[in-house]
Amino acid sequence: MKCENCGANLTLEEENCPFCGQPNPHAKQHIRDMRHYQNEFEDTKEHVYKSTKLYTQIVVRVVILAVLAILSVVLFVLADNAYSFMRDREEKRSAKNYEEYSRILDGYLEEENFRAFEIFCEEHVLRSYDGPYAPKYGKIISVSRSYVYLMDYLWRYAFPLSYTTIQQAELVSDGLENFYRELNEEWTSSYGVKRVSDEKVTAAMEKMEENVREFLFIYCGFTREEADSIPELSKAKRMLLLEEKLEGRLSDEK
Amino acid sequence: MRNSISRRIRSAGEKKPLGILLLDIAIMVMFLVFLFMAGTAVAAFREYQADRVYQPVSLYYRMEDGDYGRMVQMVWQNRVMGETDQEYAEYYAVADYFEAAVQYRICTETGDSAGAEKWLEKMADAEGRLGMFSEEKEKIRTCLGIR
Repeated sequence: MKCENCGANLTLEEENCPFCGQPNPHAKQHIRDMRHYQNEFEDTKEHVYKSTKLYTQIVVRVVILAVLAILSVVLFVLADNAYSFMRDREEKRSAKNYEEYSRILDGYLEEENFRAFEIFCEEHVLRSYDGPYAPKYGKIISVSRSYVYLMDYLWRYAFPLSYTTIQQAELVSDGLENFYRELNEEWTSSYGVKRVSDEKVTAAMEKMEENVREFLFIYCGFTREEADSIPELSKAKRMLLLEEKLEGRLSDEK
Repeated sequence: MRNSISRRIRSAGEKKPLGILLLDIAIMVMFLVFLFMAGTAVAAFREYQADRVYQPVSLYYRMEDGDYGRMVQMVWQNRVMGETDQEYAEYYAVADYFEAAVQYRICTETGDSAGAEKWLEKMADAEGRLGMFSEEKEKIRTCLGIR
């Protein structure tokens, strides 16, 4: 463009003519416009910068919150299922250590330590109905469990404590029913695993039954005939017999 | 043109937006929840282990009640779980003596002399370990009717 005064060549950046000093009206507007656009650019840039920073801050916090929430849920589920988790782990370990555990179980059976046998099976999650222990030990695991519960009830029945009541007779009656049911049941596992016959196991179950009869005879005031007839008695007759024997002992205690 | 230094100075003086503040509070709360859950999970696993073994005080209360039968169950639970601390030795002896005495009387009255001898030996062994609970021997013998 040319200066309106002297006709010299001017650029848009020159506010005044370098030759005559005349103000360049086009330059002024251009410079004003450029400043305006520059300010708008800076403002927009800052706005984008701030928005991005804010967005990043929000996203980072939301991610941290989500991670903490997920971890909390995982820990809650773990805490709520600690028992199942530990039991599953123990069951897997038992399956791996079949040889060693079988030796221990056979040892308990030889010593006639049925209590330790039952506790071992319970603590190491040896299942009676499936798994590697079921074929050989399945039945005796069930029988020993009912035997141990029965003996616990019988001990309190035979040696009543200050807080033992006549209800103990009912516990013993149920215990006897369960024990003889487990003992006489034709055992099969739910997965069709056939029972493997074992002399030690059979002898152990016979010994358990003998222990129960002897205990009833020696410590519970039963006659031999009464102790031997227990498996054949009806529930009502068994209850009557047990209550009658216990009442005598409870009144003696008083 | 605004430079980055002036931008930083300006942002240092600016207050946090409300949304960011709320998120910070939520994070602090969630962190506390996380710590609580972690503690709960650790406690749950420890409780599982602790539940497998009976403490001496539990054995003591059973013995005081004369509930020797239950004591035998608890002692065998501890033994199977491998609890052999010396602290338990005398309680174990009481339970062993009771268990052996029960079997001894059964064997004696059913004429099983070999069994009676075996259980008598176990009674003698347990008696040697009774320690401060030596008076339990007479209580047990009285309870079982053994002279």
